[in-house]
Amino acid sequence: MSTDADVKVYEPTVTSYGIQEFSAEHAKTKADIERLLRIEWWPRVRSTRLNTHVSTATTLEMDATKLTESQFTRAAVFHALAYYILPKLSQFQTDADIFERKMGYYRDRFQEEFDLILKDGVEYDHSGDGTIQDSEKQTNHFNRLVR
Amino acid sequence: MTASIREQIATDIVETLESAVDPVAIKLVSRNPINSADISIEQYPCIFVRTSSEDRDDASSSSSTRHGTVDFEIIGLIRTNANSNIDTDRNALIQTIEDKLEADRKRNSLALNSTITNVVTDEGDQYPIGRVTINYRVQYKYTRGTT
Repeated sequence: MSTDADVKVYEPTVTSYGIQEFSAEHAKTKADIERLLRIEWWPRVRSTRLNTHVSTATTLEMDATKLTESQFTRAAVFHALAYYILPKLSQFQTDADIFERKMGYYRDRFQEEFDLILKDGVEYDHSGDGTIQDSEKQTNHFNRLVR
Repeated sequence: MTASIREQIATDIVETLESAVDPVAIKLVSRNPINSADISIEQYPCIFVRTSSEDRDDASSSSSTRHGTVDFEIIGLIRTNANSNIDTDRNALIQTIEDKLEADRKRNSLALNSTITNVVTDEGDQYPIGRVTINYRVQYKYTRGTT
């Protein structure tokens, strides 16, 4: 979903603080975002689009390969910075250093970006034909009360 | 314009210390002041090199050669961890700097002689960060009006 090059768009000097590359951190972020989608988005898709009840369709899992990864690049960058990259650089002193302060900023940006993706509509290739039809990117989060 | 010998010596000190790895690998050498809140935990130990005071006098009454004795302040920061202690780490950094600088007292033929004249450590009030301040004195000659 994201690479060091994507991160450098927002933090151009990120690899000059003693760690040269963050591929492992990107992999963790990808897994985290997929998990968030399984928790926050997939149950609603399953219950509305697939017409199955949340409590009964336990075997129907989200297929991460059907997502459009580029849709999450910006969110993945913010997530990787907030949760994995900057914590590896921060000294976690009594007075927050520059990295710790940025962690908070990027955490907020990630939440904002992730919410916008959900509201905009997650692209998911339900049919498996390799293309995203309009019906495969409609939101399940618009003007609905979610309990 | 050619840099002054004083500047060339300062550059040589930085380049020499950047390659120091024994007994500790120095991660960052800068001629700008280092604020511990702006560097990452991966950038310790780090060093700030500053040209300090200088005495200058004529080599003789008839020649245009002058002698300079310039003091460089080398400020090193270490960050100790659970496997070590701040005093050992400070001493290791001092040893690293001294060993590296003593390997070439003539500073790449720019100086007549050079030596460390004073070492001061902090009291550990910023633990786990420790600080050493090394005074490095360099004697050199230059031609009047060319530096």
